[in-house]
Amino acid sequence: MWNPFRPKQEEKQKRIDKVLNQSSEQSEAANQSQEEVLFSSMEENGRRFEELFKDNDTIICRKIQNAFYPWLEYRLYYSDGMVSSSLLHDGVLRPLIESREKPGRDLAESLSKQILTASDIEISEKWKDVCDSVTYGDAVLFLPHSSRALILSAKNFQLRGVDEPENERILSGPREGFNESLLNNLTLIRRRLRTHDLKLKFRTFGRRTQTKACICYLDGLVNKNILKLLEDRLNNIDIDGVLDTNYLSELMRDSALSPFRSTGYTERPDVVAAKLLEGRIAIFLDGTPVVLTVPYLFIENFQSSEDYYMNFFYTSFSRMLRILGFFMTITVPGFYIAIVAFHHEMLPTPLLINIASERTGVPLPAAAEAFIMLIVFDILRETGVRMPSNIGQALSIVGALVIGQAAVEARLVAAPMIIIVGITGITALLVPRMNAPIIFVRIFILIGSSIFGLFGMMLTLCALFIHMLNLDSFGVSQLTPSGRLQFQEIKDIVIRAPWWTMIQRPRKTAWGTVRQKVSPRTKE
Amino acid sequence: MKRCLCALLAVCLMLPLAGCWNYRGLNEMTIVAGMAVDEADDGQYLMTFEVMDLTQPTKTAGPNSNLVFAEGGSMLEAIRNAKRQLASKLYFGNMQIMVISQQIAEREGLDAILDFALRDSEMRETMELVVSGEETARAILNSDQKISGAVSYDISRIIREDARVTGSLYSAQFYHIYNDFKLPGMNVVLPVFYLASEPDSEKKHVEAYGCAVFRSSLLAGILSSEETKYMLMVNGPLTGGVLTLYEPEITQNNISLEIKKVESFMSYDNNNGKIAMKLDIKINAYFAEFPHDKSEGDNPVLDRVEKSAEKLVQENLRNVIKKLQTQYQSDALGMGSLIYRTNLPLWRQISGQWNEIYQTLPVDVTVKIYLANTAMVRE
Repeated sequence: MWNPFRPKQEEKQKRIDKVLNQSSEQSEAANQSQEEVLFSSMEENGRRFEELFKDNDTIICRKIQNAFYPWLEYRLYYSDGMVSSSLLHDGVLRPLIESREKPGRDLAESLSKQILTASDIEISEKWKDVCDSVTYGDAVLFLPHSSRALILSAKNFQLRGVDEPENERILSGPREGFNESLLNNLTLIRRRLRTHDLKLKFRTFGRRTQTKACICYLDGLVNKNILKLLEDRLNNIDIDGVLDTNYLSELMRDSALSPFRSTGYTERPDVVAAKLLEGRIAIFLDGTPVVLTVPYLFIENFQSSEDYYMNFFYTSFSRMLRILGFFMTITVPGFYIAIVAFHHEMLPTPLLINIASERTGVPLPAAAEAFIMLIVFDILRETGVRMPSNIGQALSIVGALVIGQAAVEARLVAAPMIIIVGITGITALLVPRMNAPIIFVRIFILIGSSIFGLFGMMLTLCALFIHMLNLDSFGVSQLTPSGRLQFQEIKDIVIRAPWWTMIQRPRKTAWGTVRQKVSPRTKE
Repeated sequence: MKRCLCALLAVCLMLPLAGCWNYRGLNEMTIVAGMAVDEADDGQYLMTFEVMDLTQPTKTAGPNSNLVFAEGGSMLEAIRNAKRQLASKLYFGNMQIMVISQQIAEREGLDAILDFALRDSEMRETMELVVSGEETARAILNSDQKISGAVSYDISRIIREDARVTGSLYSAQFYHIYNDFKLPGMNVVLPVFYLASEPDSEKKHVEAYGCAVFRSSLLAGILSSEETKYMLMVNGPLTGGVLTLYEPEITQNNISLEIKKVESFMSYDNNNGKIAMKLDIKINAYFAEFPHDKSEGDNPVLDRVEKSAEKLVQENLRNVIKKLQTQYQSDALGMGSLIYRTNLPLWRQISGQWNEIYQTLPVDVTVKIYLANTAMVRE
């Protein structure tokens, strides 16, 4: 493909290498200190630890001495606010202080096996483990005369509940949603897919954030090539921090400059489970409720989880509406301009007279009017997104009355244009997943049709379709149907076929395709 | 870069292939609803344009129209002269009718008008051509009553509806007329409109009045609405209209039949140069009014109604054909074109004297009427 950056490629690579070298030098120095093993003296370990976490006042040091054996002294370090004090008290402090048991020769072993009642204890000799665990809410216990430390799990953060996600509300169906905790999110998936086939592989992103991520798939269904491709791309990511899955999505997407998505995203566990069942791969990231799914087919823009939970007649109709809405929202302004400014002959006479009389006395040409009104609409929408709900009402009054009615009455804008912008805005809300492409494509088509009329509109539509047909997601063509065009390939595209006909999984994403061996209704 | 230029070049090369592409706002043009062509005293064209008045907001007053007059030696010149008194250019894309005065139709004929309308790229091929039944063509556009805001739009709606419902006028869309005009052995028929006065009022409104028959390009004469109906039985799709009979032996009131469908079949016999036309008409009709006291469902009664209706149609049709043959000498039914289409060698022989042959052409008319939906109960 033609790439505007190509001539500068080498130069760019050099710059990148330079930056990478600098940063890797820094991080190597940091890593080196973390590769070190612990000292054999508790005092020295404590001093080193305090040095590493200098100027971090949330780190708390607790010095402990056993009541019966005064020579048994320990040091406990933890991060304030991230640990459960009752857990520490019952599982660590009380046993250590009150235990009459004389610990064995191997202090670390006997403590973890006989004395401490905390549920999750790890023994480590490396500074890296020690530092990582303290920053993630664990407590570290340094032992006297030992080069081993105990890492005690006592995590306790404030988390949101599993509420229904705000922007993926449905009428009927499961109402759980992910929250910001990775383990909690994985639990929600494991509860839905209780099979050993479900693979959950952890990895870490971000040199400084050290964010945990989990790649999740069903081993029997996943397409190994896609999995391999995904892992290759994830291995190439080297960034200092990831705070949301969109970081990953943009770093590994296929056509980088396309406004169309090439990874799916959802906050609903039922959606992720359904996608895993179709052989897709999910990527969870700690600290965000948004889960990525790959590969992403174009039709997923129009699918909603509700489609599968309600009557198929109803949901097939609403899916057609969504597809129609997409085409309307991108073409309606352009089509209107083409007709009104170029092809008046296409208008029925009464409509022509109506529009013409509305347009008399309006200062701007129709095309300029369309641009301005679309921008005004987007301004209103953007304002509304981040508005507190009580100010939102004022906004709608300003939007509807001031801009709509007053502008028409003052003959600044023609009334048909308000209707066109209204239709465009409403239909855009039908496909919230396509908000980015819609804005750009709509303006693109509008420019085409205000220069060349219907010809320009067709030209820009052709360009759009060529682009859409070229879209890939992890080696899978997003729009082009795969293989033979059979009912099983198109059962879930324009319509949502009833469940008894969903005999096969999508061939593009899943490795094994038979979903129902014997369907109760097709058997007879 | 090269590919980018190639794509740009391809787009530019495609442009001339795709129609007109100049941007013209709706408020920068004067929408012409209809046009009337008269002859001025000095022999020039006097054109009257009915243009839409867009200064009134449509919400309160509804659309309205004004008249614009202009003279010129040719039609285009008159249009350009009209522009001088208007702010924006005249736009003919939605023009629905063109009214031609009898004067022009009789003296100059249709040549210039049809040629101009065809050459002009903006005018619709589906606009209706109308002959004025008044002294001038502009009088029609000057009617007091406007239902849809413009007389022209009223007339075009009347034509479209009436051609189907009453069968009293002929829908003459431009492309159709031009086709007839150029077809050998066929003469043009146009609808006629006049201003009818209303009872108890000074006001006048436009009303259809039959049709104008042409001989080659010149106006030959005018057929009344009633005569038009019989003519349409032969050369038009007649899907409406009423037959009114008086049959004193059955009932004292008038019987009226509603025509549903007419099938006509025209053929000719060539007997050693003697050509004779044959015309078969089949009419499907309903009873509209049949106030009688005979027992219902009586077959002989129905037969008699059918018979007398057939007789009525046959006589009237003969009269119309006679009138066209002798008085107007206009082959409006396209008898010549039938021969042209089916037997070209014969047409080549006779086309020279077709006008004379046509005037004395024997025409044998047979009519068959089928009554359906009698709304009667069989006893």
